[in-house]
Amino acid sequence: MAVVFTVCSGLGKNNLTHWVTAAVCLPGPRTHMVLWRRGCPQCTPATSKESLPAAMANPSEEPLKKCFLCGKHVHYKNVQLLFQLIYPHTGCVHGRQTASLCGKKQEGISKAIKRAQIMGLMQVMCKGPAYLRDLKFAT
Amino acid sequence: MPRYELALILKAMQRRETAAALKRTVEALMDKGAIIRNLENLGERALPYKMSAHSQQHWRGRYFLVDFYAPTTTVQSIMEHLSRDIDVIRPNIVKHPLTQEVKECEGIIPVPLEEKLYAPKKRK
Repeated sequence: MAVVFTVCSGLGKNNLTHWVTAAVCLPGPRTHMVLWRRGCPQCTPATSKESLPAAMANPSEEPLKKCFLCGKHVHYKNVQLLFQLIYPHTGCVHGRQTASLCGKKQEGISKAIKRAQIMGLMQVMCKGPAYLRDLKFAT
Repeated sequence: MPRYELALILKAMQRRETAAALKRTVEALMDKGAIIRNLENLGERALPYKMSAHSQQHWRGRYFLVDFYAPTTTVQSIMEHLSRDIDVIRPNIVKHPLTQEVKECEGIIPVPLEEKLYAPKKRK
């Protein structure tokens, strides 16, 4: 039974607090080392701040995947693009997952669709006859 | 002065009458203090749906796009004037899309769908 016991008292003229630093080691056959340490500001801590890992962002983190409209402006005038993002039979707008768009562009698209429909540029309940043969990219 | 865009749908008329209507519209805009920058003709085509204006139904129309600068206070009076014009089917003034900056998009934020599937039911 080896007991290592160090006491360091808080220095200061009117300071009566005593900080106790104790390390109790019990090296039995099956017991593992139990270290209990309560540090004091005046003592030198065992691990200095420089050796502790610094908090930072994950450097191997990949940047987020960008949607195909990221960085481009969504016009209410390009009716062909807007028609590709609605269901041809009902005229409902595709959801965020089916269209694979990020949040901002999805909102921009839905606003542009509404605008084009009200301004008389886009059909509401169906797809324009000129654009029915377009390639479908969002199923 | 901010930049606006007027998406104008005129009745399908003869060339002379369309020209007269356009001239009237543009002069009205300039009288209210707007500075016309550009006028585009998108052609005559079938309207996406039947539109009724001034107790008349329309199936075909002529599309025009007017790019102009105007003081903010006059936009409402321009709209009122255009809605009173018989030859105009549908006037719409919006802020010019090219003046809006394209903000940087971060990307598609992955949604934890499994968490949503097994999330506890919200209780009020």
